[in-house]
Amino acid sequence: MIDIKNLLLEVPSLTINRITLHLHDHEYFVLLGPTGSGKSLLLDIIAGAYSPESGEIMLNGRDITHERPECREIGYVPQDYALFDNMKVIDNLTFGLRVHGVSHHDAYQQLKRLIKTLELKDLLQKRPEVLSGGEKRKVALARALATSPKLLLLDEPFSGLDQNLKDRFIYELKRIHDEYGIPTIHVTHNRIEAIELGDRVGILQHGTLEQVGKFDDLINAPKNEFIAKFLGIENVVNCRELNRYLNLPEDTTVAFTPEDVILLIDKGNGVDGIPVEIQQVIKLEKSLMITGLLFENLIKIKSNAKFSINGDNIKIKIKKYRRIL
Amino acid sequence: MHSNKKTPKTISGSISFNIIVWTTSILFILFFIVPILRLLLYDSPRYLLSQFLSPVNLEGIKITLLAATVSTVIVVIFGFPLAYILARYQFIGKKMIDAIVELPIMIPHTVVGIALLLVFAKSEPAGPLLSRFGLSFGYSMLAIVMAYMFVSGTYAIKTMEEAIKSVHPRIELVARTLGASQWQVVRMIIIPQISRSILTGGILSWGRAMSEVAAIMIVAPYVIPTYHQIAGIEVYNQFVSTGMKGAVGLSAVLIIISLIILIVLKVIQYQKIFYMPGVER
Repeated sequence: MIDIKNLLLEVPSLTINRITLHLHDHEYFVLLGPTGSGKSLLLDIIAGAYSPESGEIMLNGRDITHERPECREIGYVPQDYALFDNMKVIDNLTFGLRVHGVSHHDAYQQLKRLIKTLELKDLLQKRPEVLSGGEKRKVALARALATSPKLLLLDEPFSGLDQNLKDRFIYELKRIHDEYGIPTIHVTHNRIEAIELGDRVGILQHGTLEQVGKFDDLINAPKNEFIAKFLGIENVVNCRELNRYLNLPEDTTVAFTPEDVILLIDKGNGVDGIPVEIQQVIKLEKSLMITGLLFENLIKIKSNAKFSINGDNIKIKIKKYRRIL
Repeated sequence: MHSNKKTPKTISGSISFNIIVWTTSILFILFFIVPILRLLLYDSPRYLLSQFLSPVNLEGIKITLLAATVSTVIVVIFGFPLAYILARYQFIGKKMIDAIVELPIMIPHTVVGIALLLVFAKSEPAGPLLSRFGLSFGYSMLAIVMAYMFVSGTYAIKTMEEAIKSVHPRIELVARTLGASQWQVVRMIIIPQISRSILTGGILSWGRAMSEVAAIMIVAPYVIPTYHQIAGIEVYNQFVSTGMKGAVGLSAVLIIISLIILIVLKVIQYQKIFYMPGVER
């Protein structure tokens, strides 16, 4: 169990702004945020690279806020893997146990199960420099798990992998998390990873943890426009005329995806819908992506490709929308 | 293991560019090599051998090699912590420290000799301290080693600093999260990863020390009680007393020895043996 309270650290370009976060046992927590939002810096603080100016980090009831990294019992897989190039894969894997005084032979015996689980046997005698990106990632993950940490930190573990490899890795990571049950903080800018892996998700922006919850809860009730857009809800509109159509209070901001919009077919007698002025239509494989002006707000609409567009104006209905809190 | 892969041909550049780049480079190489070749071929190999075997020259070469090697080992070992601090820590006055490390390159080396005397000579501040350990500075091997350290330390420190910078700090952080202390990180990761650069820094320092004469002329023009001199001063003495022929013999011998040692070190530097594992099995 990890408890982070009011964590504050100012570095020249960024402030980790009083972050409070509680992780349950076995929880897989995904921290989502754009580049430069402070995700990696937060992991660095938790791992022990920096001492925060204020706040505390408790791991299983122990205050580790100002402990040295080697005393924290945290496994860390950075984005660039940080494999030790001067050692073979096997020496990378056994490193954590050897520095604790375990002999190389005993360390290898202890890690046999992990090596089997992650299918690393064929890589053991290789140097990190000859491994592929996926293999490096597996070695870095195994190395972090080797010392049985109380918390696992994963920094963008899938960046740079192609989709096939990413899918396989997500599956493997799920399996390993189920097997070892180590609470994990996984930082990424990719919401698909959050959907696939996260028991809960946190959104970080400019060093501030904006919202925490289950992914479905966040997407149904995003706290602000940034979160809505970051979670893939492309249309965020604050417009009096639209709110009148939707019977909402005047200053309400609503968010909806391009798929949430239905195009209404005008069969000549006029339809009662929300007018949109078309700006651009792009033909996709099975659909149309329409960019249009909804009372001077640019929105995107995804529609069935069979639908033919006549003229510059269409009428729409928004079948599902979220009110931004 | 040798790779069968050929180095791919680079895209050819413009002819005028290539002519200028190659001609300038060749002229520079000639500028380096012609005087050395002229010196080496000035007399017969038999004469060079006789010069090498002359007891005075032999002793001069021995003193020079010994002092340069000892000073290199010291600057590498004691320079490493300074290189680490400069590479890893941010602190007030860091730029000043950096400038101090580079200062010895700028100072005329006769000045270095005088400055060292003003600290370590018998009547100067650190003189009594040396005396307490039964050491004296002037006209001693200690003075030669210290002068060599002063003029050559910069090369080892700066080379190691750049090499340590090239090892990402996050590698150290990860190693420490795995339970390694800072000492273990340095011993098992940093030093093995930068071993080639340590050797390069050592070679540069050693070469610089070998070539130093001016500072030694001030602090130890000869060593008491043997009255032997470093090879560089011996060359000067022979030039002054017997002219070109006397000086050329020892000069050629010095060049050959330096060349052999440099080549051996360069070969070692690029061998796989410097790709050490972190911990012995």
